[in-house]
Amino acid sequence: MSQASITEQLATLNFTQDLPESVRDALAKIASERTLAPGDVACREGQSTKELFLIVSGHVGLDMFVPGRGQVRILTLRSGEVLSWSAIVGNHGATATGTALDKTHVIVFHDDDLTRLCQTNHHVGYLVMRELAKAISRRLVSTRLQLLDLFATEKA
Amino acid sequence: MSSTSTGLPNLDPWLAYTVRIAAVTHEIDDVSTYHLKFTDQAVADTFSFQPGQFNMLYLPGVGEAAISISSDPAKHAMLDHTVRIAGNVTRTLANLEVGATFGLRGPFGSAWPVDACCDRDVIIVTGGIGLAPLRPAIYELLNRASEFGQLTLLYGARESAGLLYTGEFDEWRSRGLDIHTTVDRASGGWTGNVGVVPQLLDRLPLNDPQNTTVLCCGPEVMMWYTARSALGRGIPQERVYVSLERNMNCAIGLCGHCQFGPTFVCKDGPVVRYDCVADFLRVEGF
Amino acid sequence: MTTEYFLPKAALQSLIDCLHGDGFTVVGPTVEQSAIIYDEIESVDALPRGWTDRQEAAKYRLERRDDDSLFGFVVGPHSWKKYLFPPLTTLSSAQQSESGWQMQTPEADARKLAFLGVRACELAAIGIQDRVFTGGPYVDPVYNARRKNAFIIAVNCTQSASTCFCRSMNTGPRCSSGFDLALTELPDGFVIEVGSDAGTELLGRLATESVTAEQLEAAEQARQQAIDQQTKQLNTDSIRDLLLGNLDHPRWAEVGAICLGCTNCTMVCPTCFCSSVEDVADLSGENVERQRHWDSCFNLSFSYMSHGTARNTIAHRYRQWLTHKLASWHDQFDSSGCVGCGRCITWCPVGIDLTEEVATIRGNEAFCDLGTENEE
Repeated sequence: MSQASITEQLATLNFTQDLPESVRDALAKIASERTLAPGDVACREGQSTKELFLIVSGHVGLDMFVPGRGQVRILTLRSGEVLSWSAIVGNHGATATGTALDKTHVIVFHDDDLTRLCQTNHHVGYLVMRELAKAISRRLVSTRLQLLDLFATEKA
Repeated sequence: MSSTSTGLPNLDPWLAYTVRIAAVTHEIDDVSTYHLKFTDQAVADTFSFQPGQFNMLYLPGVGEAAISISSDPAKHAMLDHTVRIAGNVTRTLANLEVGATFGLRGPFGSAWPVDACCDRDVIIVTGGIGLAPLRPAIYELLNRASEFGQLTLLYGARESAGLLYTGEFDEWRSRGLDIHTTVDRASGGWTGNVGVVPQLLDRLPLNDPQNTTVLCCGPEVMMWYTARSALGRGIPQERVYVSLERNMNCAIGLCGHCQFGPTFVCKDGPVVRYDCVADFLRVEGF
Repeated sequence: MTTEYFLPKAALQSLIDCLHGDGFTVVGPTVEQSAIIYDEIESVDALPRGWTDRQEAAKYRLERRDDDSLFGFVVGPHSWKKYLFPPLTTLSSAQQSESGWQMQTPEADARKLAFLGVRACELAAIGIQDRVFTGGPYVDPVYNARRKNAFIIAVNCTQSASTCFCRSMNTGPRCSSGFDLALTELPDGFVIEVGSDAGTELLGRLATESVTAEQLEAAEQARQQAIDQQTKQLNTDSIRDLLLGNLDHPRWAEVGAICLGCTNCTMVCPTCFCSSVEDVADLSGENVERQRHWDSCFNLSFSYMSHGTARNTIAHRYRQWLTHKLASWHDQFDSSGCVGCGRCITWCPVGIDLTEEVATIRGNEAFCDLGTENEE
């Protein structure tokens, strides 16, 4: 696993592809790669999480625990999506459990490193936070569409 | 002016042909596919339709309902309509037995632009029973698969029990259709994707967005967000097609019910280019 | 230039008689329930001799004239669409038999109708409904059968009501085409123009006289009076884009708060064509008719769908009516859906005036009634 390989991958991922090359390089320097096996848990609901993941390939299921119903699948994440943003913006407490559904390749940022980079270089910080906000915004719209329950009274 | 230009074998657009229920396939809760045969062989011989068109199913004494044709346009032996129970006509239909007769007027409306998809990638985006009006397009695309680029189906439902035609998916895949399914709510051991359909389009790798056509049918909100996603991915808005739903009473543009701005959904639609209706899709009460 | 003739008033009955002799049912204006309506007439005595109508928003009154004019009024609540596009028609029938349901087309209505007293705005309205019912890919057999048999005798208006704005819509008041014969009424008879071979043929059987220069001048003056009296205007400049570009204008909610949703405007409109088809069965349930009746976009159920109604409020439905009539009609049928007859203004129980609605949306409320001197 090399920094060059991470830089290449960041150039293709939805989350980072629009960032300037210099910013992607700065991010690559603090990133590492990891491969999750099916069933591996990347973050666990209610527990502290200090790592932010960008999914390169594979799928991660997001589940929330509901008493009486068990783990309820909320969303399936795939290539280009961000996982465990609570590590950066949410007091470190994961709001859902992220489980690899198949062999899943991820790029990992540790909260300490990413926060330090963003605080010392506000330009990078702004761009990273903007991408994070866009990702959260897309996730919010999707969640609203789920809430609307559009197929409950669908056409005949 | 002449009726021959409409594709109707009948000169009188109000006159229904008699059809007989040859078989019924139970699909999912409240949804069945009725396999119909014309009682008049001459009508059966001349009736043809294009993917996306609909018929008015007429139950004498009850009324008519506009139902999309869901069978293969290349196969003439049987005409399929996948119907969800939603009103008097469809409820009465659900109580009919194999062998029963009723009326059918059609085919009406515009078609999915299959020919215009030649040499292009095609992404079909749909949800729930919205797959029914797209199934003839899938058949035709697969029948002529060599003429098109990559063929993809993004299909969502509320729950896995709301996914139609799943028994055919393996065959469709073997003939070249890349199928991605998703549900809004995971239940009953569903291990597939969870999330809304437009999200599947957000993440789908595209070979050549400029030369990709999107065919979309579902609730208006879902079509709106699908189109937004398609445009965001660089697919030109004139290559995004949606199928509209309005109250269709006459099916021939004479009664006024189905108007959507300048569009008579029954004769100018149901399939329309997204950019032709985009301005009106989010106007409340229009 | 068309050749004109003069028909003495006493000879008008012979026109009606000739039409009857040719198998026509003659329909013309007559007074009933304090209004001038259209009905089958046998003789000139049924015409509203000496009556006129006074109209304004939400007001229609018959008044006595000081002469014996037969056509000295404008337009009433009826229009000819009730004969060409009947309020209730059977479109098909179905019978249950041993071999299942069989559907049939009813006998075509072979009745020949002659319309006496069609105004210029109404000729335009018939032209519009021709495009609606026979100009598209599907031809309505009911309308088509009645229309192709119809004989049209137009009558030029010699006065305008305060609700008339045919000049803004370029539909009148002069009858210029779409008729077999066109009359201009003078005190002692009619100056007649011919608009078709059938008109020429019929006129050949009447005791017409050659028209004098004085009669032509008098007819011109009578017609000019209708032009001079017309004050209401509708500014149609870019009206399609104006209305479709203002779907969120606050005026829709304001007019929606006043409008009763009563459907009067659509019933009296000579071009409104909305309808619904319903089944009517006998007691056995084995003999069923598909019946079409006039409907209206003002009815809540009109935009019903299984998962909800598209246009839930009266404001939505008023907007649908006006944007269809004045805007999207252009996309659909290459013309406005409005002929400027003013019926929707007169017969609105709360006096909503579409010309005022458009002027308000245009941001120029004073435009709709400036007087004729500001036109052209």
